[in-house]
Amino acid sequence: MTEAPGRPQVVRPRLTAGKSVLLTVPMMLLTAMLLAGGPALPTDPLLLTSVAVTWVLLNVVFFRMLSTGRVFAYRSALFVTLAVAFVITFSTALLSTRGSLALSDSDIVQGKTPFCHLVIPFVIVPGIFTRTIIFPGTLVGTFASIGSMIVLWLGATLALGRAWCSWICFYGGLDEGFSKLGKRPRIATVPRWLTHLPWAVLIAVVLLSAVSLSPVYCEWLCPFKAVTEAPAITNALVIFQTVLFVTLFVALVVVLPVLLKRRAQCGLFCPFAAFQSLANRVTAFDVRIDRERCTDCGLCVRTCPTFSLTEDSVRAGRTLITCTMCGRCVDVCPSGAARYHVKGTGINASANAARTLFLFPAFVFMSAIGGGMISTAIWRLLRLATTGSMF
Amino acid sequence: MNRVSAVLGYLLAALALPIVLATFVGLGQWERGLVAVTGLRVSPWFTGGDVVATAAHGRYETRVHEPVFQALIGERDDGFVQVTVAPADSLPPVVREEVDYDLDGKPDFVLTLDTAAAEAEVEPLDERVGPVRGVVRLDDGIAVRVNLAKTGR
Amino acid sequence: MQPFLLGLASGATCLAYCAPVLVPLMLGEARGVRRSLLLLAQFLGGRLAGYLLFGFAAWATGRLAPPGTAHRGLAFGIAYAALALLLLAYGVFRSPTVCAGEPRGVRALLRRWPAALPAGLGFLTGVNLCPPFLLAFAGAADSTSVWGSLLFFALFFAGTSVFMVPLSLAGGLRRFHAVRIVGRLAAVCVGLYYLYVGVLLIVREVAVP
Repeated sequence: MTEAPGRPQVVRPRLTAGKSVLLTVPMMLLTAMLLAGGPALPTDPLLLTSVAVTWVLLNVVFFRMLSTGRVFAYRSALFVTLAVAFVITFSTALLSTRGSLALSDSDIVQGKTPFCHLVIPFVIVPGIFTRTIIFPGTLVGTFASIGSMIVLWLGATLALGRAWCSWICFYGGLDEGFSKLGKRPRIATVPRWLTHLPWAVLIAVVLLSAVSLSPVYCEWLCPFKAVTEAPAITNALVIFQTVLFVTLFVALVVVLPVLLKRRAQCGLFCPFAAFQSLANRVTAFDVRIDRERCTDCGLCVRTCPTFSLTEDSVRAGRTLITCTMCGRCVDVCPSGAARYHVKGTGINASANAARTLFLFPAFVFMSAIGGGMISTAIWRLLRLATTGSMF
Repeated sequence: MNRVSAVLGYLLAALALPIVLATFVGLGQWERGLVAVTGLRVSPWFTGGDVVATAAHGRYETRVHEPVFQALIGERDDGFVQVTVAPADSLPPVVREEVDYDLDGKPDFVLTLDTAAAEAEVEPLDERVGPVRGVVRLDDGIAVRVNLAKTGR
Repeated sequence: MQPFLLGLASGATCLAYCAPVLVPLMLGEARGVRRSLLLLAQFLGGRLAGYLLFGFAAWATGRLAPPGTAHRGLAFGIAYAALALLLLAYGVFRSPTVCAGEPRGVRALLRRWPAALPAGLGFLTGVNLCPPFLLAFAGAADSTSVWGSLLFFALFFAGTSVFMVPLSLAGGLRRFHAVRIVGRLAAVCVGLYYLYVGVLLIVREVAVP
C-alpha cells in the first residue's frame, strides 16, 4: 500500500474488509456492554448521544486498525482523545463534588484522594512491611479506590505488560499529544544515559517512600498534578512543590515532547513506566524485528516514542524491555520487518494473528477505561454548548 | 518443542482477553477480596489511626485514636495522637477535654478547641506530649492532632 | 554480647535508613561481587568511624542524650546537606569523561582517593542519628569507661552491619552496564531529596527561635 507519492512503499499486515467487519462485530458488542454499564441505556438525550458517539468512534477506530494495518495512527488519536477526556471528566467531577481542584487536609484525612496507578510501585515495600497503604485514599467502594486500581493494574499487567503505557494510561496521552505537534523534531537525539533516568527515579523514590512512609513521587515529582488535583496552597513548602510540579509538567509533558517529537515524560522520567517494563516479562506479547526483512534503515530507532529501540536491539531482532507496544515501529517500517508477535512462536508466524490477538485485549481495556471518560467528556461539552454550563 | 512453545504462546495470548474481561466484570468482588486476603489498611499517618476510646458529652462525643508512631520497621520516636469531636452541628463553641491517650487512667494533656475557628491549644500533663500538629475540619466533626514523643523529652 | 544482639535486632531498620544511600552506591559501582564487598567495607568503615565518634562523645559528656541536642536540628541538617552534596558529587562526577586528558577538580579527587567516597557516605549516613543509633547511644552512655562505650558501639555496629552484606551481591550485575548508570542517577535523585531535607532542617533551626 503506497503511503504517498515519493515515499517508500510500506508493507503492513492487514485484514480484508470482510474479515475486519467480522472481527469488529464482537468488539461492537463488548464496547456496547462496557459503555452502557447496565441493562438500560441512559434516558438523558445528551448522555445518550455522547454514549452513541463514543461507541461509534471506538468501533470505527478498531475497524480501521484491522483493515488498514495502521495500529499506531489510530491508537494514538484515540489515546490522545482519552487523555483529554480524562482531564475534562476528572476536573469536572472534582468541581461538582468538592467545588475545587485543590486537595485539602480534610480530604487527605478522610481518604478522599482518588488512587492513581503511578503510586503503585511505591506502596509495595511499605505494604509488605506494615500491611498499610501509604496513600490517603479509600480502600474499596469509591471512584478510583485503592483496591479497584490495584486490581485493574494486576489484570492489565498479566494480559498486556507495559502496553498499559500506550493503551490505558490516561496521562500518557497528554505526552503523546504534544509529541505530535510540529513537523519535525528540533532535538534529534537524546543521550542514551538519559533513557535510564526512569529506573533511577524508581529506585530513589521506592527507597525514600519506604523510609519516610509517604508517597514521595506524589508529593514532589508528579507533573500530572498540574491537570488533576494538587494540595491547597497553605504555606511556602506547598508553593515550592507547586512550582516544581508545574515546571515538570511544562518541561516533560509539553516542551520536550514538542522538541523531540517523542514521549519525554514516559520515556525519560516516569518511574511507573520503568516498573511496568518488568511486566513485559509476564505478558504473552511483544514486538519483534524480522532480521530477514529488516534493511537497517534505522527509522524505527529514530521514531520510537519511548526510546525502546536501539541499533543493537534491532540487530538482535527485538525491542528493549521498555517497549509499550504502541505500534509506531510496526506502522513506519518500510519493509514490514517490525511486527506484533506472540512469544513462543517463530518470527514467521502469522503477523495478522499476533496483531489481532493483541489488539482485542488491548482495545477492550482501552475502551473500558476510556470509553466512559470520553462519553462523559462529550456529554459535559454538549451541556456546555446547549446550556452554558458543564454541570 | 517449537510446536509446544507455540501452542503455549497462543494459549496465553488467547487468555489475555478473558483476563481483561474478568478484571472488569468482577472488579467489585476482586477489590474486596484483595483487601480481605491481604488485610490492607490505609496508613494511620493519613487516617489518624483506629478509635480506642470514646467519651460521650450529651450531644457530641470525643474520640481518642490510637497513637501513631508507625515506621517501616518498628516504630518512630515521634508521632501524634488524633482526637476527633463529632458531630459537627452539635459542638459547643469551645470544647475542653482531658485526654488520656495511653489509657492508663491518667490524663496526659488538656485539649482546648475553639470549634468555630478550628483552633486548638494543648496543655501537656505528660512530658511525652508536644504541641498541636494540626486541626482539620471533617465532614462531620473536627480532628485535632497532637504531637507525641515515644519517650520523655 | 548484648550490644551485638541489639544491633542484630535493629539491623533491618538500619538497612532501611541506609538503603537510599547504599543501594545507589552499590549499583553505581557494580563491577563484581568482590569489588562490591570492598566498597561495602569502606562504607561500613566510614559508618563505624561515625559511630565510634559518638561512642566517645557519649562517654565524654556522660549525658543520656546525643551531644548538641539543643541544636539537634541544625546538626542533622548539616549532616543531611553534606551527605546530599557528596551523593550529588558522586552521581555527577563519577561518570567517565568523554575528553582525553587528566581529570580535574572533583573527578581528580574521586580518582585519587577512591575509598574516600564510600567512607564519607558511610560516615555521614552513620551520624544522621537513626532510631537504632539512639538506642545504642543510650546504652553506651551507661558505660563508665571510654573503652566500654567504644566497645559497645563497635559491637552494636557489627550487629547492624550483618544485614548490609547481601547488598554486595549487586556486584553480580556487572554485565549490565546500564546498572551503573542507573545507580549514579539514583544517587543524584536521592541527593537532591536529602539536600531539601537538610536545608529545611537548617532553615527551621535558624529561622524559628
